[in-house]
Amino acid sequence: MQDEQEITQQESLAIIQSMINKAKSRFSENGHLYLFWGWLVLICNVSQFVLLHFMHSSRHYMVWFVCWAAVIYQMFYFSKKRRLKTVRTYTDEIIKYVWIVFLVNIILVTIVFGQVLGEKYYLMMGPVMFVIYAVPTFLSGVILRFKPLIIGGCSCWLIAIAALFIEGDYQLLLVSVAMIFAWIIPGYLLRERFKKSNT
Amino acid sequence: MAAENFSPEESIQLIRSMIAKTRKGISHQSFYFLLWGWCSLAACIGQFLLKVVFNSIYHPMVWFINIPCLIITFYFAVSHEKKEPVKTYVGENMRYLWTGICISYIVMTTLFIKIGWLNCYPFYILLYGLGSFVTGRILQFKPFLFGAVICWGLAVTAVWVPFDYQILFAAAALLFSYIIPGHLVSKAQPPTY
Repeated sequence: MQDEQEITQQESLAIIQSMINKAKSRFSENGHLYLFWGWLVLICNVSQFVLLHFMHSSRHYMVWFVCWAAVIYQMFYFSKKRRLKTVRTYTDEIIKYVWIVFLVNIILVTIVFGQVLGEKYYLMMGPVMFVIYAVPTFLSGVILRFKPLIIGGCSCWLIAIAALFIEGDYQLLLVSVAMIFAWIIPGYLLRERFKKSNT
Repeated sequence: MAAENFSPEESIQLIRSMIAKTRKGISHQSFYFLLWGWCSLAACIGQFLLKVVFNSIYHPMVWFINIPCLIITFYFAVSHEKKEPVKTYVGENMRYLWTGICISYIVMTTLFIKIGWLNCYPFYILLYGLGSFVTGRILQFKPFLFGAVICWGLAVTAVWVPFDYQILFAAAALLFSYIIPGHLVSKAQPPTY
């Protein structure tokens, strides 16, 4: 752990600057990525349901490959944001790592499910995925002190339990419900708050 | 708070006192990691012995150890809050992080009651990793980060071994993500001024 004696005057001033930014309520989260991912996952999810339930396609899962393009877009978005932003706050840092953990968990859960359940992975994946969605959403809400995200996180936990009572393909549609509560509604509210605090 | 009211020296003094307070808070957090780490490790080893060595059908009972752990955690959290009523930003984030993780454990357990316990451990190991990694970032303490990365490796590897041995993978995950960082963080003494 970094010792406090090792912190130089410049580093201390940088930390103070980040805290002043926080105190000034310079709200940097504009909700863009919540909306981007929220709508993307919702569209993919509904498409997968249509392919599976109505068209009985065996390649229904392929709709999710679009997420790789979305990840590339996000990397460009982050690098652009980093160039424009001179001071990063402690809050920004923690939230960044919360979502990195989320991404790692989504990839690992997919690997684990694929190995454990084989081709029928999607029938059991929903409830566990909702738990994975809930944690970073809830934490982002807590760190940003933004209640709609906290409520969104709690909704995911409740949807995870509800998913146990919904059988078969219809369980898939709960992903869309989770997206609406966890990312889309908070995303629009974040955008509103961002506009208000930056005008 | 107006930034103009602080001289550079006063600002540095302020930030140093905040770091000192945070580090004192870190040492306090170790109690919970050690309590849950050691109790859960004991439960894992107990379950393994009961199931594999003694062939007992009562092996899941060892997890009732979580009930006294919850009571002790609640008691210490309340008494600590009484002793130190001033809340820090770091402390608050830690509290909500572990509230979130705790809810996730409960929801996950409810799911496994319904869908069956086979292969439950890789998912629990992933949750150990999640909590450990975010803790490491909040507290700026690397051993938690290393513990989390080990957890992710163990979670993915565990699906290739039978359930009985997955229990031991969970024990290893607890050792690296809770117990070792917990002991190391307890030695992180607050600086003296």
